[in-house]
Amino acid sequence: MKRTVALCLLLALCAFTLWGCGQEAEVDGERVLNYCLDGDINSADPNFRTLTAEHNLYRQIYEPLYFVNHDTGEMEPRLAENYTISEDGLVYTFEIKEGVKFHDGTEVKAEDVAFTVEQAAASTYIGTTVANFESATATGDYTVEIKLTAPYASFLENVVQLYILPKAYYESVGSEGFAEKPIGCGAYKMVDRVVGSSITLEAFEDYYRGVAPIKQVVMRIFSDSTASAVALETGEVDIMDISTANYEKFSQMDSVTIYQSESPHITCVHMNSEVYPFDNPLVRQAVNYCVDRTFMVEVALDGLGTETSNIVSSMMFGYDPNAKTYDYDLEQAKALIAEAGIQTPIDIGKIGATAFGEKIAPILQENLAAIGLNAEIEVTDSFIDDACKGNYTIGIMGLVVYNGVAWDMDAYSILFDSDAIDAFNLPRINNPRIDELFELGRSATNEEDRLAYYQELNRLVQEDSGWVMLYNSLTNIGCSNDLNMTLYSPNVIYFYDCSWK
Amino acid sequence: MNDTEKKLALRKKSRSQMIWRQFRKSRTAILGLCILTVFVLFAVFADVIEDFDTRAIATNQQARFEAPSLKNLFTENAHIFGTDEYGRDVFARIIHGARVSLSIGILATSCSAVIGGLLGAVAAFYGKKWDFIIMRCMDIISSIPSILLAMAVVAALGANLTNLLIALSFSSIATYARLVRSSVVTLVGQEFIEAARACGASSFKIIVKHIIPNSLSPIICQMAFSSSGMILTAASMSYLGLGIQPPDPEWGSMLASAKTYIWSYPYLITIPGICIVLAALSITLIGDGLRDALDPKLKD
Repeated sequence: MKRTVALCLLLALCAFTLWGCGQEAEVDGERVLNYCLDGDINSADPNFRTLTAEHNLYRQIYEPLYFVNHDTGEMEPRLAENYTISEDGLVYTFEIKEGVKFHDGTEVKAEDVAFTVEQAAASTYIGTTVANFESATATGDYTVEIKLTAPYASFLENVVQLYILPKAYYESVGSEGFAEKPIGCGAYKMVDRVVGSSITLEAFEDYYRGVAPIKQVVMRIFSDSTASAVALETGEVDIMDISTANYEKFSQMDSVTIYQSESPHITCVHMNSEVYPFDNPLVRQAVNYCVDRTFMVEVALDGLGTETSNIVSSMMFGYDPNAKTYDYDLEQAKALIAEAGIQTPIDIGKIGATAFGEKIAPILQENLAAIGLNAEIEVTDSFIDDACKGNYTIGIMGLVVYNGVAWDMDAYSILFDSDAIDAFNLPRINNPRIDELFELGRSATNEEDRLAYYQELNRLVQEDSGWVMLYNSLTNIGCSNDLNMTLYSPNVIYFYDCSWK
Repeated sequence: MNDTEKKLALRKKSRSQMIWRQFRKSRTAILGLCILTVFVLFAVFADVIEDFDTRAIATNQQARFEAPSLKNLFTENAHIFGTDEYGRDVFARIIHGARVSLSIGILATSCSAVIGGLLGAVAAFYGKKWDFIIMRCMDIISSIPSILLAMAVVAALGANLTNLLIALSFSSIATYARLVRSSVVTLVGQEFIEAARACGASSFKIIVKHIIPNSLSPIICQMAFSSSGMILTAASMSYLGLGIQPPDPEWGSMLASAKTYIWSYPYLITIPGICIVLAALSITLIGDGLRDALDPKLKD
């Protein structure tokens, strides 16, 4: 008797496990698209955007004025029909489409757009993207006029990518209520969110570009990359950002296609220019020459990265191909150290890093030792704080130099501007000319002038060399073979573009 | 040497011999002892077998991910456990890591046993106020999960070997304090302590000469069991990045850095994993054997 009961229980357990595996594969005969999120979102309100994961969600449920395609450099119209900019660069006028509906059925009007820009400008998270903002007014049902206090070159590219929010609903439920039950005019509605586990999206029937081919999407949260890789292998998820260690395995797998795009993620070494011996630019340049970028890319990214010594990405507006570059040259590095008059070997203290930099820290340590600079490695979570306050000598940091919208040199002000000392200007670069160039570039309305300012800036930063650029990462997206998907740079996926083969 | 002393010496010798004879009977305990001896020997002679700087630390771009093999044995290119993502020899890292792992296990256990034992003895011997204060402190310590407590200590003091040692010792003081207190409380009431006191022996002398030797066997058993736990905790702390700093080798941190290669190069994660299991298992087996050997009830 006992044995029968035990057997029954065991069978029931197996059945439940199997049932768990097949869960949510289909809803009403339609196959569900499972998307893997690396971590949970903090808020569904775009005014509180801090994470890449959030951006991935917002894209699906909200709609901007234009979609900026970074691969082609073109602005594809979404909610907007057209725009005009006044001669002095201070007034932007947008005409928006008629008859576009929010998820609650109300129509998108000019006042919603004006409200969105006002909210964004007031936000502590994304406010800087619409700097110099003065006012936004709806001059008609479908016309909105935005005024600036001073010209701001990246304004257009930034403002058109704001996600339009419904004014009436947002005001009635407040920011917190909105984050709980967000409403946009995107291709999908957020129907359910289980904190730490999943977000369920459903195609919006009245979407102005036509209803999406895939009716239901579940964004599932996996905090462990090994677990998510297994999920992709078993077909439990269909789209996933795969780690470089798993690249080879998935590239050999027939059921998975890998898409690659440029990623704005860069890995750098940074030296505190207020501390001996890195107060000497010669020593900083020596470090630039002595780092073995090839080996670092191999170890940290399994070779799937682009080594470069120019901190400004070649995709950014303002990149100067003639700026100083640093190739691995040990003799040159030693000569620079000797020129700086440093008695080697010397002890320079600690190489600081967070868990992110742990992989390349031993290589940096060896490279530094090769030119006579001895250092210990210290991996702590608090390193970012310490580095921002200037309590460090040399460290490793992974950064995303991209404000989420424009690919423009202006984004680099957080790394080079003297205002960012005690923030992410980690080498504590304090060059009045660099600050001035950022100002000039920001207010110039002529593209050629801007490019000239930014290229000078690029050259200055490379000469200063407090940042040692190591490599750019690539985004590798693994996708089920039976799914049609388009990947835009950097890591931009619209579920609306996806369909089953 | 007079007769009584001779007799005493003989009895002492026969006591330890008796324990050994009892211990020898357990085949698993002997197996554990053998495994542990191998580990200890490798750890002690690590520097002689493999040079630390050139084999365990220095990277080698050309020799990344070499599979374990017996090729080139006894030469500079021998990689019987293969090489890791930096081209470092895994065998060299394992034996140098054994030094860290084993010494953490042994030192942390001894520290917590000595400190905890003394606190427990003091609490039981002086009783009343002292007992209350010390044991309530121990209650507070033991109310926090030990790994959480250790993490808090490391987070507060900074991640390195010494702090890890302090953290691990601190988090298991309470167990020893309780254990010693309970056995001392029963001893204090017995006649031979009263006799010693009547003879005018000082409290310190009574604790050291009479109480500690008589309450030793449960402590030894507890130490044997908890040092295997310590090795596991130390490995898990390093796995979480709260122990030894790179590039120095430690089994737990080797596991952590190998986990990304679990599919592509499974030997990288298997080898340190097996070492942790074997080390912890061998100490547990020894502890088992010791408990039986020290238990007066099981005497033939």
